[in-house]
Amino acid sequence: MGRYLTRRFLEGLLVVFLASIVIFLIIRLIPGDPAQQLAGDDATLEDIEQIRQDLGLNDPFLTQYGNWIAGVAQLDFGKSFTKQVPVRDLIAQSFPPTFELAVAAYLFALVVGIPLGVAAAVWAKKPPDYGASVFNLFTLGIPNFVLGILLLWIFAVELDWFPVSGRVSVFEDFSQGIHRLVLPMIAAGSAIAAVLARFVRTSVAEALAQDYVRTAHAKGLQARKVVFDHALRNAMIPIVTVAALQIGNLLAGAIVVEIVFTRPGFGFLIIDGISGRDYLLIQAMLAILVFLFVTANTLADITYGYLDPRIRVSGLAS
Amino acid sequence: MNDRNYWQRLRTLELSRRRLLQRGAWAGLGAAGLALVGCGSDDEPQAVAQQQDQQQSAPQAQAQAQQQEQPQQQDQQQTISAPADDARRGGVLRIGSDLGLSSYNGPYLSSSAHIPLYIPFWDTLTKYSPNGLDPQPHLAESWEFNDDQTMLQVKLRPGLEFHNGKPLNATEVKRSLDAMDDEGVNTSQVRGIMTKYVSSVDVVDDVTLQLHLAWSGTLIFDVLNYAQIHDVDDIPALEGYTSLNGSGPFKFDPSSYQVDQYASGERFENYYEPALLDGIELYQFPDATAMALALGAGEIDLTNRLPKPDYERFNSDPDFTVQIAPPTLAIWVLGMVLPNENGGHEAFADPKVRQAVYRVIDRERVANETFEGLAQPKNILWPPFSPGYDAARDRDYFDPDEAAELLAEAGYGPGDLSFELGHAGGEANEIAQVIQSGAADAGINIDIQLYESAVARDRFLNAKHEAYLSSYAFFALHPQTLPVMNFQMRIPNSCAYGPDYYQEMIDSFGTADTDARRSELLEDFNKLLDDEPWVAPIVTRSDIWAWSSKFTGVEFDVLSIPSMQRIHQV
Repeated sequence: MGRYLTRRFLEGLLVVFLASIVIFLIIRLIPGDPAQQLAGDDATLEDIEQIRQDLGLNDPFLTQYGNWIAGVAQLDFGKSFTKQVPVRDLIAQSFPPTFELAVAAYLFALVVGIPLGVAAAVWAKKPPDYGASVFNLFTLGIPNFVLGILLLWIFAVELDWFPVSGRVSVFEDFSQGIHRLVLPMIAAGSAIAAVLARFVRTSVAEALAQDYVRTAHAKGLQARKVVFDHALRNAMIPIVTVAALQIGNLLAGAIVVEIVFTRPGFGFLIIDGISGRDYLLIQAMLAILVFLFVTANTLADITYGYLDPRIRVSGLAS
Repeated sequence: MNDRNYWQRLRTLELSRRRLLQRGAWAGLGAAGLALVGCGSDDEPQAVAQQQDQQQSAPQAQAQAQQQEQPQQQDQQQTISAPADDARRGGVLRIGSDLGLSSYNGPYLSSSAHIPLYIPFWDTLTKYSPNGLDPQPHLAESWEFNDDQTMLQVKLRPGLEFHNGKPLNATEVKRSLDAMDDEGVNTSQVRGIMTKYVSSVDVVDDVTLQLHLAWSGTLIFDVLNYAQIHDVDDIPALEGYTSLNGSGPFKFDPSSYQVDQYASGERFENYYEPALLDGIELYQFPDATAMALALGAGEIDLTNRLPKPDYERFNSDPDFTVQIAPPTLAIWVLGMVLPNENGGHEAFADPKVRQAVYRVIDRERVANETFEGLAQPKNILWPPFSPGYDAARDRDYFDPDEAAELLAEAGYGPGDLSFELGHAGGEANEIAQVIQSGAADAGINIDIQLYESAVARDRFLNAKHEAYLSSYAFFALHPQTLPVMNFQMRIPNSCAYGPDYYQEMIDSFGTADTDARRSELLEDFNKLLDDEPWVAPIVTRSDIWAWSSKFTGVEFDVLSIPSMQRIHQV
């Protein structure tokens, strides 16, 4: 198992490293000059050149990349061009709100999606199944930012049940924090819940048709035990895969939803970074997102091993 | 607004049956969320859109009336909200901003979006009055020119202090002004005019300075209006705002500052005219719409960027006060780029073609349709109070037939002239469509092209456009200032327009030593703008300020910048 984890870790590191090169190059291929953005519409050419020099943008690409990656190795992401503070501080300030929202949305997706999928599989072509289909159609058919705006309008503006903007840390004020988290959580998590529900339904329905399920029923086991201990557990491998892959969507979704609900976090920062061509800020944020995505997938791979010992053995053998 | 929520109106039977059913339906939809609602605290601001029963008048009429009444309103406000009214002291004003302090690149750079960010913390020597370019005392108590207006002696108010108690004396003011010429300090639009207009600053005594002027005359007040006085020793701390030792009515609190999320300040008691508010809080929002939503929900008290579609709703709601700032903040222009090594359009080398384009802009239509009556058409660059204003030239230039004739004189028949009109989105797209329509009547084909803002800026700064739409501030300052500080008017510029005689004219503004000569130059300038226009004014762009009616005393100067000292709770 140790060798397997080491291999997965090194593979992940390689992916992050290659992604950092791609990110570095792609950002510089986007038209627009950070120095011009900083200088504004009335800057002189001398001002712009001075800023470019100060930011090191006249250095060769390789030097710029080398400087950056050397800093990253020491967790120094450089100083934001536009905000004039260390990128590390900006990320430290904006990551917790996004992480909080992403975790909440993911929990929401799991809590809603898995039971909904199981119910739809167990009561196929019955009201729970139709209900799940309607939920899936509704949440998958509406982009999360539109859903966010709808939720905001109905529950915050019209009904005044929730605040329209802002964020309070759940660690500072739990009730206020949750209160401001509910609508963004639903907006960010609904589509993922729908995807999960669909996969759970398919996987569980397949499992329920297997011989071992019939045998379990024949043994006189309770229906609930058959579904959850036998069918669902065996159906979990594809579900875990999908759940892990959704983490990327979740982060992207959370960023968009943050903007709709005016929650501070990665969303604001990434948009500011892109519009201001704040290279160091964008590089750091994208690299972190890649790292999180790779980590989530690695964790999913490890989870397979626990769910199905055959995969663990195969991984060790290879 | 907060005391008129759904349940209260239900109890007092203010809801109609139909509305009650509608609300009931919404409540049914949200029933699943009810259990979670209990998590919220009871003191949460309540926000329910109030039903608007009043018949609303046309926004244009309201806006015009509001603008016409502006001076009187401001005079009244000054009378009503006289300072030192202890009974009205107190309260914290929560201000929404779509920009964060980090984007405020040092205390010299200012744009309209930055106004709520800098006015609480920094002050200037003088500010213009609500009605024109006549300077009013701020940190400076009085001033006096020498005979030929080449030297301005400024006397500071006695006993001024920075927020940390450091004396704000003549030496500190000189350091602050001198720092504008320091390349280590951030770039600045104001730096351009400061270095052009002021050759040196001398300290006479603790409260007296002498500004020796390279460009003589009252132009210097354009500098003094914007040059915020700060503690030069504090400049490094402005990177990241670890501290801010300001000179304005509110004292920045670095401990509560969150980059681009939140900033706050408390009343600076040693300010020469202490604010009536206890403090201010600045909240950053992603856009103006989000701010309007938060204002409506009672989560902020004031925004300076109310979106046009929200104007009617807030203006007819007694819980809010809405005011269109004076139409001096910025101006939309169409720039015509002469052929140059980076781009431009061959046809624009001919002034007659540029005159023709000037005449295909239906400014009234842009003001009425695009801006829903909340902007003013601009036929010429200068506002009526400007020394450059010429009433004879302020006429409606829209005339596609005359444009077609000018094009024919330039050798272009119907359909012969096509050009791309680039812009960076937003209102510019709608303006472009109106211009496209007018141009089609004159036989000109316009291809409207949207560019991402960073790309648009690159094209603008390097004269790559063929033609473009942009808005710029400072047009209401002295006309001589514009060719110094504005990139569309100076040489080189975004239109690649720069004949020698224009440069000579700009230079001669500095050497003009009599009012008669200055007037003569302004007349030449106006004639040049008529004969060889490279930018065509379209409409003014005013910010729409909206605030909770719990507060009053928001007063604007002629350049649309409000003062914070007299804002107070009702």
